[in-house]
Amino acid sequence: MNCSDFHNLLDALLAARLAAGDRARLEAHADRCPACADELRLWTEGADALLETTPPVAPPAALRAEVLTRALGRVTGPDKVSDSLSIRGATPGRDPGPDDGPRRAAWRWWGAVAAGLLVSFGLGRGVATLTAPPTVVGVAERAPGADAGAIAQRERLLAQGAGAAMPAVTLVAASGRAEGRLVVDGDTGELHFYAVRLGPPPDGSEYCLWFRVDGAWRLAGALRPERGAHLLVGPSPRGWSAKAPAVVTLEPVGGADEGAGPTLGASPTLSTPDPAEEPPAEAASSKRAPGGTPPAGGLDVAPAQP
Amino acid sequence: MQGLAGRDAAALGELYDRHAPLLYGLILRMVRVEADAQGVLSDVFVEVWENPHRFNPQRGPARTYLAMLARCRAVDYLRSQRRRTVHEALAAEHAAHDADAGDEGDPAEAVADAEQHGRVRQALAGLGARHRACLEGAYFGGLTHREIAEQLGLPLGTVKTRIRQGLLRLRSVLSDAAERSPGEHGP
Repeated sequence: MNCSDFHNLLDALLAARLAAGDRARLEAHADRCPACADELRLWTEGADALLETTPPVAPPAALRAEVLTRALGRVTGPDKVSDSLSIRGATPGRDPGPDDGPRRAAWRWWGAVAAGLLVSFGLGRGVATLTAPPTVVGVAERAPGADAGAIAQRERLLAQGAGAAMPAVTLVAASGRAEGRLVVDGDTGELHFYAVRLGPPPDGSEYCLWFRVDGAWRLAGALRPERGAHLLVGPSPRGWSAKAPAVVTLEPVGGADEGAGPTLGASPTLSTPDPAEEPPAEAASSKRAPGGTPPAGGLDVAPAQP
Repeated sequence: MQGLAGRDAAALGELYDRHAPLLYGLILRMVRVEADAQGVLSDVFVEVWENPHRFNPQRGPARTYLAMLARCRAVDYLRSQRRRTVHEALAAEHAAHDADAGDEGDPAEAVADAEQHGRVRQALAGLGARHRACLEGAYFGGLTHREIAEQLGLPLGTVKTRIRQGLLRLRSVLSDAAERSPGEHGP
């Protein structure tokens, strides 16, 4: 590119019609030519100045959830699991470009991941807004003997890779204060629940994750503060139900003998959750071992039927 | 933005919270239809999430990058719709300036409006309608110099000159404001 080419492209720069490759060429030329670098600065500063004339406008609150749903629900890996999702407002994604390195790297980590579910929930909210059907959701007995180091490692990997590789759908309550993702590690077959922006539960309470299996609510496990916001549910079972819903509730530590606490979030199959459908009554019988004490590992979950 | 490269979903939420109002205001100003503006805004964040490595912090702040991306997508939309002429864009902009005209005539408001966007808005208003039409047609209408020239019935060279003069004027006003601002807060 020479200086004449450079000046010809400034027009498109201001009009936001510069092709990505041309922008790189423009900047590369400016790096070598001080005069053109000054000119580029003038035009970019001018664009910034014009931006300043635009007053901010708050978008509708619901748009945030839709944006996150679209972004986090994208899968461009080999399985394209999310292609089967019907996410409200979603549009077909672009094919990944040749320079989509991070995503591909993530897929190398999570290429065998089978399914995921993104659950967002607002504390204290009993009803969530449901935006899409779930992907694959399952329930399993907790794998015994998972050590803290392994959990920490998986938590880190989930944090890094989940958004890129996990097929996910989103549910966000009005407050939208936290997000959780249910994922299956295809390498190990283990089912994990990982949450972000989930503060500690109120004193005497714990967050609980539930699945609905064969018409009954089953406790998958509790997210206790000492575990961070991660729950290793266990090996992914055979015969998962693609429509099995999941919810997160706030429970007294040790469990409630009768009923359950408020539902904080739910998987998208639970459109406008009916109180009668929520975990309490049905779950109580399967949630705790006799005597009201939690079973070993804090889990008492029936495996899904094959 | 660094969090996006690490595939941190929370970072995307934070990025949205920080920049969505500005971007939505910008997109809405360009496409004018709320539902369409929301779709464009959504496209922008999905694109950022999918391609975080395209942001180069050495080329400017995230805000500038996101604004450019938002304008690109809004321009794509406008071009696909083929429904706006420069006259429509300018009519809309003039309406916005009419709304601002009261601010310009209010000394108290002018003093209070010490924020950057207020100064720039005033600077833009001070450019004069002819220069402003060319600048806004390019920036908010996504029109090339040639398209502006055709739609306004002006020689291409005139459009180029007006745009460059407008940019110089804006920069000058901003520089002056930046130099004066320390004194404004002095003893």
